[in-house]
Amino acid sequence: MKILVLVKQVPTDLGAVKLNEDHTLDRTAAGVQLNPVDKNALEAAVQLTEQLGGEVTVLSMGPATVKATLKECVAVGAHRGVAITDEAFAGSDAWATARVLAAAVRHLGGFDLVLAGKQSFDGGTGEVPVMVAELLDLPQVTGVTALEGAADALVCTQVLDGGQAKVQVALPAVVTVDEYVNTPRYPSVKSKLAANKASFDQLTNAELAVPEVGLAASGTTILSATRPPARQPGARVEGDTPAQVAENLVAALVAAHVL
Amino acid sequence: MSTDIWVVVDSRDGIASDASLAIVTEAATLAASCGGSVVAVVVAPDGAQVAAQAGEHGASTVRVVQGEAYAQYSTQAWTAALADLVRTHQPAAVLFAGTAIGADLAPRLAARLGIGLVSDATALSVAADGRITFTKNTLGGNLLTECVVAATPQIGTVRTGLYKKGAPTGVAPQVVVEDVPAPAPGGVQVLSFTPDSSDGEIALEDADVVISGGRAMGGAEGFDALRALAAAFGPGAAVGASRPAADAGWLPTSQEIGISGKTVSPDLYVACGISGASQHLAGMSGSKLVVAINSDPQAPIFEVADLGVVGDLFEIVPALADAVARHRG
Ligand SMILES: Cc1cc2nc3c(=O)[nH]c(=O)nc-3n(C[C@H](O)[C@H](O)[C@H](O)COP(=O)(O)OP(=O)(O)OC[C@H]3O[C@@H](n4cnc5c(N)ncnc54)[C@H](O)[C@@H]3O)c2cc1C
Ligand SMILES: Cc1cc2nc3c(=O)[nH]c(=O)nc-3n(C[C@H](O)[C@H](O)[C@H](O)COP(=O)(O)OP(=O)(O)OC[C@H]3O[C@@H](n4cnc5c(N)ncnc54)[C@H](O)[C@@H]3O)c2cc1C
Repeated sequence: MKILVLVKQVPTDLGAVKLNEDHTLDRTAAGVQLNPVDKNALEAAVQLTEQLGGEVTVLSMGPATVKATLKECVAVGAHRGVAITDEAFAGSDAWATARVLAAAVRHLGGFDLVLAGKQSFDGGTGEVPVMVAELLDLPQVTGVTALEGAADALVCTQVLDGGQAKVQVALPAVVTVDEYVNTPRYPSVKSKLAANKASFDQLTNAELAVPEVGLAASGTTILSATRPPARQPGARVEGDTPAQVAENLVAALVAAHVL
Repeated sequence: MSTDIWVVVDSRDGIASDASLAIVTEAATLAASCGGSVVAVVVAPDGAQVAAQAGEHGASTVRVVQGEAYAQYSTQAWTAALADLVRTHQPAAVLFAGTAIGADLAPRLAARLGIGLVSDATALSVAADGRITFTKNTLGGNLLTECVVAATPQIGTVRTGLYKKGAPTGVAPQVVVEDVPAPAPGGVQVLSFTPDSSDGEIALEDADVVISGGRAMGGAEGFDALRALAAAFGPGAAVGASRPAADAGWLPTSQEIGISGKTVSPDLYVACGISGASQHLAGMSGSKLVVAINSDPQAPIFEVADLGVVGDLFEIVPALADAVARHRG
């Protein structure tokens, strides 16, 4: 089975992301990490190829630093990594990102399955993989919490509103996973060293030829961006006994009109 | 283009989801301020009952796509039907509740129409030019943005729990049964659906009061104290959990609150033995009043709590349940 995993590089500290004048974000002080749930998507891919044979490719669109993220992926089982880096992609929203990723999936070609995280830790729209599925005209299953694979179909469990669904999806398909799907493995010293030597293919829009990219191709427009005022620290409710604390708390809840 | 605001109402067994009815009610308020009207869109095996509920909660018109082909939710069948209707009627906006189905469907529809999508809006408003605009509270509460879709219609998903469905209006909507091409088989086959055994309890997203417990609960039995406190608040209260508590199976994972669980915005959120990690705060920062009960005075949850109690939750919670029950008589 040939599996492609979409992985995003995200900041480690959302609080350190700064806001530029033009509403774009300055992530330089915020650190970088592999989007946490993408580790689960990668683990699912590696487990499937361990059972059924095949190869796992990780694909990431982002600045030059995404190579570090691809290395991290190779250290836990990815066979190959591809970075999509092009200054022209700056300012992409979910729709602009999805068009580049879909073009790259087509360019690389021949995948039986595209796995992705349910949502990113920063933008968190959950739109990208779904839009990629539509652009590639593939069936999709989102937010999967359990996964069983066979050569031509997957059986997925999904938590929907009011219950759990078990669905079977024919391959090729796009599947996004939740953190509950598995426990990602840790790299070993040996696998980390090997990953350090890995080299990655690089794509730019010269190869992909997406007609409109970046901010201009984005489907959404930001009208204003502000930092919300910090929440004022609240009041402490005290008392000599638990019963007294409870009485004082009830009085405060009544004063706040929630009781 | 029309000035109609569409709300996609999802349903199961003839019952519309409260989350989508809440958006219908909110859209009715918006429509009143911009001169448009609210159209609910129902895709269901038999839409009559759901259409009536959408009307009761604020839709003046309901467009229904129905038939046995829609017996089970299917991304492909729903997308095809909605895209067909949008192209024919050209609404100004198409809104979804940010439920699992909304998150699965809205981006697929936007991509089919070749336009963008605003996800997880926390407020809706009407701009001077009549466009619906979306407010988002993002990056774990660190950024507040106002945004629009660059094309028409304005497609967006709205965070659940922020709005509540209105009281029934008693007005019957105009129901239009739409004729769309039969859906093609989609590649996804539903093998089974197991409903949550909710025992008639209110859904977390719809609750006015959420009592949640963390790692400090120590086990499934620990949550009995929280259930007793919820019961004291009455039928509008539900019990939730932080990730470690849900992971340990002390409460079903459907009750997890946070970035990888549910988003709730109740009038009152009581965090018991929860430290206040950013991934947890992401799921409850829209709550109107936050109470924290924690034995560690330095716990970060106190930075976001309106009312904080430093103490042992196993002493405070039962005392609070008694005091609330006494107050409510
Ligand atoms: C606070 C904030 C709010 C935003 N709101 C919106 C909005 O409402 N609408 C909108 O269109 N854009 C929005 N954006 C922009 C958008 O988040 C980014 O442009 C991003 O490229 C889209 O992905 P996401 O982070 O939402 O990813 P998601 O769709 O949440 O990511 C899901 C999965 O897709 C894969 N994936 C995502 N991005 C990449 C990538 N670059 N390379 C490889 N795989 C990837 C990963 O597997 C990931 O787990 C927002 C950005 C921020 C910071
Ligand atoms: C990718 C990712 C996604 C995540 N998603 C989520 C998510 O969706 N939701 C979520 O909740 N977490 C999530 N987490 C986990 C999160 O980072 C925290 O680990 C988690 O929220 C901590 O849970 P807690 O507050 O219950 O436990 P702890 O952090 O262990 O806190 C327990 C608290 O209980 C207090 N306490 C102990 N005993 C008592 C007592 N007797 N009385 C009163 N107080 C007491 C302690 O002082 C402490 O503050 C995620 C993490 C990652 C990496």
